[in-house]
Amino acid sequence: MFTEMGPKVISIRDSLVNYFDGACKLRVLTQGAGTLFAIETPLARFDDIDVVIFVKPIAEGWLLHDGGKTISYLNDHSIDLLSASQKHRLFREFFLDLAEKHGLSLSREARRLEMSMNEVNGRNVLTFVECIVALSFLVMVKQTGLTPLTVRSLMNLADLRVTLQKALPGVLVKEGIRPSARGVDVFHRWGISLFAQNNHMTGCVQYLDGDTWDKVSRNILITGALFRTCKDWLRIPPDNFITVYAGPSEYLSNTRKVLDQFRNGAKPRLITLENRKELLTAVLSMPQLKRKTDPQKALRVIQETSFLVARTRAEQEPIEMSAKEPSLEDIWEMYADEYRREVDVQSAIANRAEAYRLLLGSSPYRDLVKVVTSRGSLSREEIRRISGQPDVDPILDQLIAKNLLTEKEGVLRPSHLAGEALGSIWAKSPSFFKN
Amino acid sequence: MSGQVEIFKNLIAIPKRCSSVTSTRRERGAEGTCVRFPLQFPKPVQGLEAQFVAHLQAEFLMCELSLVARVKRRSFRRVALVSFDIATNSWVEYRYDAKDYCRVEKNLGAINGLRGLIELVSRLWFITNLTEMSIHYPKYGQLEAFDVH
Repeated sequence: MFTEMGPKVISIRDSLVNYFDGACKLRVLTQGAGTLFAIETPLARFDDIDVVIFVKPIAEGWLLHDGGKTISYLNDHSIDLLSASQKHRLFREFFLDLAEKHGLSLSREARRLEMSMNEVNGRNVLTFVECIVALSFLVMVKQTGLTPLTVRSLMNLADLRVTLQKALPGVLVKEGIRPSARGVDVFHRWGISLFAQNNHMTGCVQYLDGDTWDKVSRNILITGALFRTCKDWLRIPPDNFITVYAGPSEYLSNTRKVLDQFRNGAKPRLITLENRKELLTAVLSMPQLKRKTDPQKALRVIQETSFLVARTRAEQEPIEMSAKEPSLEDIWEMYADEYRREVDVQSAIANRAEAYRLLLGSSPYRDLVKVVTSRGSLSREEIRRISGQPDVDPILDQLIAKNLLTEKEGVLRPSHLAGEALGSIWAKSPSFFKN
Repeated sequence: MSGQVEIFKNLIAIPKRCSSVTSTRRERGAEGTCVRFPLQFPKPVQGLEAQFVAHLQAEFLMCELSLVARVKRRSFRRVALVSFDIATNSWVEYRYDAKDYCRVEKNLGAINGLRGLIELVSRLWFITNLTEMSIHYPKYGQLEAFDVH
């Protein structure tokens, strides 16, 4: 194999050497009293301009510098390596890493990058040029963002944030979580914070991700630590700590098992990324957030986002938004859990009345409940006759399942819930009964 | 993105005027200096902000003059640059495209002195009223204080 390919590979290497030989140009520029030596290399910066370095003889050997062009270029893109501000910290740290590794320095007076060498060494010159090229790519990093998150995680988090922000218009949704360990604030990027009031975090959605089981298990440890310390570090009750799982589906069951071991059986609510409805239900169950939400709008957002997610994941045809109203099942599922538990009685009653209003706002449920309520008790046959609808049995069954009607010995009666709901609706909008 | 290219193309062509010198930002050192002049447009251009930046170095041939601009709430980026090209031994104007790549726009030939260079760039980028720009280097006599009127 080598005997056939060998000459070709050698010729490629030779052409590379020849190209470098021809493209590395030395210029002697005389200006005023001094002489300036410049070397143009064939290695280009991010903006496609070839790097030029200047050579200056000094007492200890040679000084290489870039003539300030790199600092000027970065400065024009609002990246200031000379600044000590927090805004430029990440860029400065990147430069300091390079400087420590390769013996580079930044002259503050001359505003230029410098490197001194005792004797002529081609490797040092190449390193200096490579450092300039690497620094020029900070412009690209600035535009794309400097973050340890993968592109997929970034997209998922942005998606979650937008969904929550749209569903909860009265709530401030911020990127990242800021746990405060022993009074020292730390920025944790893997998550979203929810603020019902200013400067007071109400709840958080932690993002659990990983390609392999190694990464997932390491992240589970972080989740467990945050959950155990959420009262002290995040100042939120454990019920308001939600974890969204975005890792591979085969590790989901293992993740649940590992999380079971934390806090003597108490564990954070683990919701998969795809299950937006469950996530929003969990978020809406936080008592501080419930007051600030519009359930109908929230449901529409769930539908739209789940529709969008399904469409984008399947990479199908262009998106066509459906203007469908939320279905009865959606409304009911949202409040059923809360209704059963009745955690907060006042808000539960208010929300239940809202759910009934939505439920009864749609025909034919409204007509049937009105008919039954007005008469007190009716048989199925009478309801069918009065309402003029031949097929009312499935609808009546649904109303019975929702505890709005009770059936005893073939006679249907309105439950106290239906009366309460209709009463609250009448108090809000008497015109409802005139339709 | 194509609209963006048009915006920045037009930005160079639109006549610009330097705002008052009091708002000039100078970062002065012994050898290198960066001087920024905020530019004003003669007619209102919505959402655009531009600056003329002089990156001045002790050796005259290392100086660079650039035009940077930004759309509202974005960071500044280079739109055009005048720099000395050692390959051709002459001053060259570069233009940046929407992807921040640079290409040679015009060869300006040889120029004697920084003052002549700034005057040329003022005409090239339609910058009017670039006055009272004074830079003095005590260490290097070759770059004297000058004013552009």
